[in-house]
Amino acid sequence: MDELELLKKDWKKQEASLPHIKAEMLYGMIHKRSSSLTKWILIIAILEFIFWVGLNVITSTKDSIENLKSLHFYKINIALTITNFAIILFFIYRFYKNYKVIQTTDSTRRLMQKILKVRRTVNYYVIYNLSFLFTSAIMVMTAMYFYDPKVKKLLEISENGQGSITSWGLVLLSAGFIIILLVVFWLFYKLLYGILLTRLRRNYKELNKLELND
Amino acid sequence: MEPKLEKQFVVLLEKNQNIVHKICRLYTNDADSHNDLFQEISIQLYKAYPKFRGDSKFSTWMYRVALNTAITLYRKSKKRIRTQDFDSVMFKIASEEYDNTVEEQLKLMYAAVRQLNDIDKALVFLYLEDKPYSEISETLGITEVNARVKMNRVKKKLKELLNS
Repeated sequence: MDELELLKKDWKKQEASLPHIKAEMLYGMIHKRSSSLTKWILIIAILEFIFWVGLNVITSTKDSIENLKSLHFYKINIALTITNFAIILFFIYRFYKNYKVIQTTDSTRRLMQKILKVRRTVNYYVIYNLSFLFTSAIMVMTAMYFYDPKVKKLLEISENGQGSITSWGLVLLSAGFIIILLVVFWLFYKLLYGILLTRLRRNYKELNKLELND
Repeated sequence: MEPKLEKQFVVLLEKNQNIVHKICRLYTNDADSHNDLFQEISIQLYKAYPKFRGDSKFSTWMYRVALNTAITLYRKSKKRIRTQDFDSVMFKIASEEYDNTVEEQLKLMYAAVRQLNDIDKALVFLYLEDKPYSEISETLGITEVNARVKMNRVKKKLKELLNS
């Protein structure tokens, strides 16, 4: 292609018009903070973890503990929390390891693979969090169904045919609530990581397409 | 990093900075983004430098880290390409050296290259830098055959862009 050869010749000539940054300026530059993609993925994942732990601490008030005890759920809750934190700590270890593995000296494809692996770990983390949210919500609601005096009263009224809601209605209402909660969280995650990774995914597809075609 | 190693790095970066500037010119559309990407690439080079063992030339290693940063690590999304940018900031060509048609043709070529996707741009960049296909394929992590096939496709794509 003639044009590309023309461009090649011109390409070498443009060096004269390139800016030149002096060493003193370069010193300042290399000590500035990086705003690379992987760093942001890690920061968001850590913030997210802080959010979950924070939520747990805030909701663990005396009243809530008493409440859990009355629902015969306190011990189960402790077991769940310990398991949950152990699993989350494992995820953090994975995040850290993945982050450490990323070095810019690899080939573009390998580097992208590694970044996408970080993303996969984040995805598993999201799936785990959503499943945990789902399971604990179901467990709490089951406990409430059997032990919460208010729910019991509501059920008694409805069984007598006086209340405005039947016991099945209550179950459906709870299920709806859980589904909405899960969808909201899922959308939130999608938005959070989706924006960061759109371009990367596009580039990775471009490289993959090439290997598949030939 | 040790001060001695840091000094060594800065000297090498200053000497080879043209590589980074050229990548920034292809991957960004205005002076601000150019400086932004230049800084990010410098940081990534600095972070990776202790692992640079001198198996390859500093400049070869630099191509790889700089391109990878532009393609995979640079966070900011690209602004839309505006044609006046080419006239005002980028690729000023000394007019006395060319007649108008050549200059016009070059301008269109640069505009077309900048419309390519990140990977294609990297290929064209390495091609313009006169890198052998073995190095191009190694940098991108594809086979040499694929790099050639891809380059042919990019040439076709550029032709289409120029004719449209």
